[in-house]
Amino acid sequence: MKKYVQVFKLSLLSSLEYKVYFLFSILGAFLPIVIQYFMWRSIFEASEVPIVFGYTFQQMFMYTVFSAMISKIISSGIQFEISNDIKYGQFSSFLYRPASYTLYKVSSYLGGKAVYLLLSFLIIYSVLITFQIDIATSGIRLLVFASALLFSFVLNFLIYHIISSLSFWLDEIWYFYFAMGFLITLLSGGIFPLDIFGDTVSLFASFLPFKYTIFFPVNIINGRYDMYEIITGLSLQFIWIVILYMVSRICWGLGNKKYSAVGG
Amino acid sequence: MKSIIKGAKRYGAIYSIIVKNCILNELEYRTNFFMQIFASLVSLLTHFVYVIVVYRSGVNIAGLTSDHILLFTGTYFIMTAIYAFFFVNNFFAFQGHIRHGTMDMYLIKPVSLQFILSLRLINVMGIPDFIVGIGLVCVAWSRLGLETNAMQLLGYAGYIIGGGVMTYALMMLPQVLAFWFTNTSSLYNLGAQLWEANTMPMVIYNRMIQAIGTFVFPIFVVSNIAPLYVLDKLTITGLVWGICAPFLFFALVRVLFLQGLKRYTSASN
Repeated sequence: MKKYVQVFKLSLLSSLEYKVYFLFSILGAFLPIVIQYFMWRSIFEASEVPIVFGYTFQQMFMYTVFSAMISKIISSGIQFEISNDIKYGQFSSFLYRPASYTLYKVSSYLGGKAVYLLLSFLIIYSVLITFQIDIATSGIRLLVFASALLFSFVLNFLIYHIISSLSFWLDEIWYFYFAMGFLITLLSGGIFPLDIFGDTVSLFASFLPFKYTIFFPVNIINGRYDMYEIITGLSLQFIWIVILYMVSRICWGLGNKKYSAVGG
Repeated sequence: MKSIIKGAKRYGAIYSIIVKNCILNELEYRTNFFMQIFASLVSLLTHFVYVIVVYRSGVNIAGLTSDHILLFTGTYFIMTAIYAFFFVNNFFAFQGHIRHGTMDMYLIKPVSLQFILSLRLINVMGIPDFIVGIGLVCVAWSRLGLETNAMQLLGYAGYIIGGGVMTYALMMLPQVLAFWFTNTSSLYNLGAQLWEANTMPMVIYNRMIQAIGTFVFPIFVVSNIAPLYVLDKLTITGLVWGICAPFLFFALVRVLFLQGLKRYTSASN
């Protein structure tokens, strides 16, 4: 465990090294929110009714803010790192190290994200206080939100871990990662709430694990789910984690057999 | 005049060789080629959902109908295609040349350094964006019942070319700053985020953002002027600024490039 804590510390220090990059990445996270804020404001102003697609303006704006923040929190970029390690042979060094490659990546990711996570929580909390969303700030709501967020992170990590194992078979895979990234963001509700696209899309998305990474936790804090729906959602998150964990173990095991240390 | 034509012909010939070589290179790795096309199509889908949402809402936003929005989105796709096809790979590599000193090998080539560094790579991801963009503009054009005469077509094409020059200038700006700051990847990312502001027409933003995005960092000039022109919604200021701004910003980048080049030290090489 000590070695992973050390990796965490090193990544934390490394993330603080590039302060300007860090600040710009925070700023960059707000730009999509600005675009959507003005778009939704125009739509709600033009609409004759206060509820559009089943959302009030405040709920839609909150959704935009939280989905942008949560996408940033749970995104890891692990697929690009793994792909590079496999392609250039750095993965070989992990085969004889007394450490798990996956746990190493998790520790490194958490260290790199620690400050970002802290700032994100502060921003989320400030938004909740400013807009007086007491429904989500009450103790139990915040607690289940935190649990859902933790599950989202694990779920998202497993999804990308499975996709990353394709690097064992394909050398040039970056564009596939980009495509999958766009698709997963869309199906997670990272751009717009999934239910605004109609019942068919909503039903289709509910059979996939992606909506439990962004759409579900955002709607907890947005106050759109009652406690029964939250418990159901948390259970489904957990079930998907178990399924994807098994799939990732199988894919990773098959990939390891295929690994040929090209470039190493 | 004769020398300008001769120079243009020479650079045209060089560029056609560059494009040919790049396409052959791309086709050599077919899986990667199709992956790029796939990634481009999925990216288009994620941007097209904005239009879907506007259509589904059934309201006119900021005085624009859904078909108007389609015209703006189609133009945005065309501009994204231009950015992706001609510039994005070159800009991505630019600061690396400064940081690692690999610009040396381009300094000795008998062509303009800025030309070769800006255009020596293409990205096939721009192709689907261009086809879909043209298709959306045609559909919107027809649904809106816009006139199809020489004035309209030339005006639209002219502002698209102006938008292309503006794209070059605005997205090259963070790269050129690498001569001073070495690592400008955060600025590059910020520029990419600002590019997304054109996903929707600029009229949805408030007056201050519109003014900044038109005159200070004219990102809206890229894909808003051409559709506003064909919709006959362009003011005289917009009409003139749409022509002048690309040249002004191109000149600014050229000056910065030449100034920055004096600071190049062949570090690490």
